[in-house]
Amino acid sequence: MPHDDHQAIVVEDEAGNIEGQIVVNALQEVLIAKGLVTAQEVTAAIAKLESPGFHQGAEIVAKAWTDPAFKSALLADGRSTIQSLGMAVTEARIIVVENTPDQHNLITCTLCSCYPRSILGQPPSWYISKAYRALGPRTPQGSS
Amino acid sequence: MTSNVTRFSTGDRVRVRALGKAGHVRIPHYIRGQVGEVVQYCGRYLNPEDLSLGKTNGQAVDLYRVSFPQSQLWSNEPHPPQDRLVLEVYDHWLETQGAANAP
Amino acid sequence: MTDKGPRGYHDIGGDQAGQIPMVELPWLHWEKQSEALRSLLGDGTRRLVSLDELRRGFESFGEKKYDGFSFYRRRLEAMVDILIEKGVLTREELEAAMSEGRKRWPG
Repeated sequence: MPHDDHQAIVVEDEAGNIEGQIVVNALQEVLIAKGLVTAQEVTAAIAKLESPGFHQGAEIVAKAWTDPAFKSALLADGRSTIQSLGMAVTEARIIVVENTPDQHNLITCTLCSCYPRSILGQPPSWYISKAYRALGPRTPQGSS
Repeated sequence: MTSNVTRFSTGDRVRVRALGKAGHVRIPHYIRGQVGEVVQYCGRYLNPEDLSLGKTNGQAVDLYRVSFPQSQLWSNEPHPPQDRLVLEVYDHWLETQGAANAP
Repeated sequence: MTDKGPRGYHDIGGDQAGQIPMVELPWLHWEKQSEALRSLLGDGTRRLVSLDELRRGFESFGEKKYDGFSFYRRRLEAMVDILIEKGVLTREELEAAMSEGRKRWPG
């Protein structure tokens, strides 16, 4: 079965985004009515999702560049080393790989765009695109 | 009952089984049947196939990082011979390379 | 190569594809709200929708539904499907709330 014509990335149009808002508002309303979540919890959970980001990745990398002991610890056990910076990590395990002059690494999750969201926040749009999921494993040297 | 003994060790050559399993699995199609080398043991985790069905009381399963040459995976395209694809694979999806009873 | 077994429509690694889009899309409020709900529903006190169940959810849409939705909409719809499957809520309850919600949008 050919899987050759994936739309590179599906972007909701205005109607789609309105519909998304309607669905999630309705879902939240029903869940609150059933006592499963509260509005305050949702607000707090949104804040928690917004707090990590690319800046944390930059901080981790900068420290690895300047602190060899930190870098060794990071490569041995990503999760606890990142936690030692006071950053929350919810993923079970974090493996960190190093780009060197001899070896470059490219990370992809072809099945569902897994990403260390608790550390780096939400992934960039290109990372979650179908094009990247399809091409990542076989063309790591990049088309463009 | 826990044990520190794993079926595979770093350096072992393994084949990814094609288990023919429907439903939620984490082994991509492109890697099934391919032979690679175990490069790291990742520990023991609950099986996502079970977790996807809400079953949280199953046996934890060993997880390995396995390395495959890109030139082997995508053999109809040119790939530098040193390029590798490294993927985490659960124990039950692996067999020793050359196992006689491939499913 | 011998038979590789069933292949989900989401299992697209290695497929041909066009250009990787370098557009950077904003993360919209409804998307954050959806992810927030999922994280609450998956937490230790509720254990209603785990990430593994969420994945099974969007892997069970059928190809047409999967291809038609954006990344975050897929996750929202998968969460809804799992909650309905578990009897946490019904499609009718959700649609009644959606109907009411639509009235609040202009035009």
